Amino acid sequence: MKLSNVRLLAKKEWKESFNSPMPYIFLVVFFLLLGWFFISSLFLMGQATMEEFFGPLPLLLVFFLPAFTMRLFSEEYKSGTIETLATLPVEDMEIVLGKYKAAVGIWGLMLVLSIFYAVLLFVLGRPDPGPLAAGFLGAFLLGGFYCAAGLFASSLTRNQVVAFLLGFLSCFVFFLFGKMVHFLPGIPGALLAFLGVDIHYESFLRGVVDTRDVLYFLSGQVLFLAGTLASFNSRRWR
Amino acid sequence: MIDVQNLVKHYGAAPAVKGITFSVQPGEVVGLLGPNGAGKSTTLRILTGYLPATDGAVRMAEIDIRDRPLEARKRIGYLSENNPLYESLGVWECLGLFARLRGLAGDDARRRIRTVVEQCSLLDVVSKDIGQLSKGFRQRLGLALAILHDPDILILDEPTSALDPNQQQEVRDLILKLKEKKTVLLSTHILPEAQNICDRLLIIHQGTIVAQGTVAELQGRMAEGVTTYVRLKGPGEDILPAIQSLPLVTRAERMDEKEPGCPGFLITSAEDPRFALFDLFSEKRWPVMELRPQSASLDEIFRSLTGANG
Repeated sequence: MKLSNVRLLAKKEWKESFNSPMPYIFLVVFFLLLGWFFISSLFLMGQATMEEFFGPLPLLLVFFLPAFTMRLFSEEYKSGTIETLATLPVEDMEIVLGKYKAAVGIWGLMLVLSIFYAVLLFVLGRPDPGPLAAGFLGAFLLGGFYCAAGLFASSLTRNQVVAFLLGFLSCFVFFLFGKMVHFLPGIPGALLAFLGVDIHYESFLRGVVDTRDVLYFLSGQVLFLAGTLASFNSRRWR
Repeated sequence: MIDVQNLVKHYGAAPAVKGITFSVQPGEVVGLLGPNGAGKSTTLRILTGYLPATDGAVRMAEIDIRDRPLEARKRIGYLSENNPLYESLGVWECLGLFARLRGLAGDDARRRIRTVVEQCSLLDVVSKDIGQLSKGFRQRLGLALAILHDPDILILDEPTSALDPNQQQEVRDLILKLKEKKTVLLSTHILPEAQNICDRLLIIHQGTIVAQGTVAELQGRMAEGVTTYVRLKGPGEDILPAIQSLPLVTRAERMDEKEPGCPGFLITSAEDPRFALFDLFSEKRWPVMELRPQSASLDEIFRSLTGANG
């Protein structure tokens, strides 16, 4: 596998994305919403933390990231460009990783822009840097997990709306699993809670970087990427 | 060179290509003709590595596409059906991206891009977005992307479909220019195009090759004897029985009457009837307005081999 091809394909996705209004709308709405949460916590409650910024992410990203990933494969299937792409001397894995890198790159850019809020906290108060850094890491891993799920959904269909709905559902199921612990007692509840994103993400918000949580997010991404590769490859055995 | 041996492709249980074998030599333009659903695009997709074959062997430029797919793809330039392009990219941007994905970099990439821009007459649109291009320019860009890496083999799936006659001619001229150095396999629905630019034709129907050869060879195979068209100045009702009375004529029928008093006749005979006809007409003093051997058109050959009704 050639990393230079992955980089080139990610660049292509970025160029295509930023030539449309979608990511700009995406960024503005995202920062308006989270900016409101952040400001209300900072000025109304007088807390120098980013908990109110990181807290709603598992639910908010369920909507935002599938909206970005929905076009990545679906549009190529619909327009037929996938044939052009797949007959270039690039491996299927490079195509999948290029698209994944583009999606994670957009999410990374959003997190980099939100460092502004962290800087503001340091100017106005004395926040604890540990939970802040862990929060950014957790948010990045959570976004990567949702991007992989959204990419998998996009690889299943040529219809972008269907891709969005499938992506939304995939992410929402993992979000809901975490809430099941309140309704399902015993082992089933615990199992679902383990599968859900909540308990793994909350550790980061407390400032704890547990390898098990990092592995949970990473293995989830690997599984969804493997699914995406299988789905993209399915043209070969259908 | 393209070498295809006993190629089979099934979609589920349905066979799309049923064991076809052919080869295309360097410097040759071969046309793949067939009705919709005959298996043309499937064959081309297998050759380019987009789809795997169910069975059979494909060697592109001496490389087995199953063993070394990436190496084979480097040697192929492909223009797929409907020429899908990345609408939101710029023309230059797209050429640059494809050059790098094709392994070209730096000065090499810039040199090749400039060459294909010139070859495909894209200079006026290099700064535009692809979405703004007319169909003709889009097709030229598709071809430019296909030849960007100077491949040995060009595979073109209906390269002139949906173009106006002028644009079709431009694309044909470009293909003829490229032919000198490359192996070209193209599929088309446009029979005059196949006749004009292809050295050889493969007629595919229901997943099998039903005929192959040059247009002249196919015409020869189609003919049941010699067919001759003749137009004379004289009484039509006397001419037809006179022609039919010649021993070598197996069939004669009256055709159109382009000029008043000058009926046309289509004559089928076991051998060339022109000497016998000349003797007959001079004896009867019927002036000959037109006399020519008539061969089956590619359209007739195509319809006869693929069983289409018109």
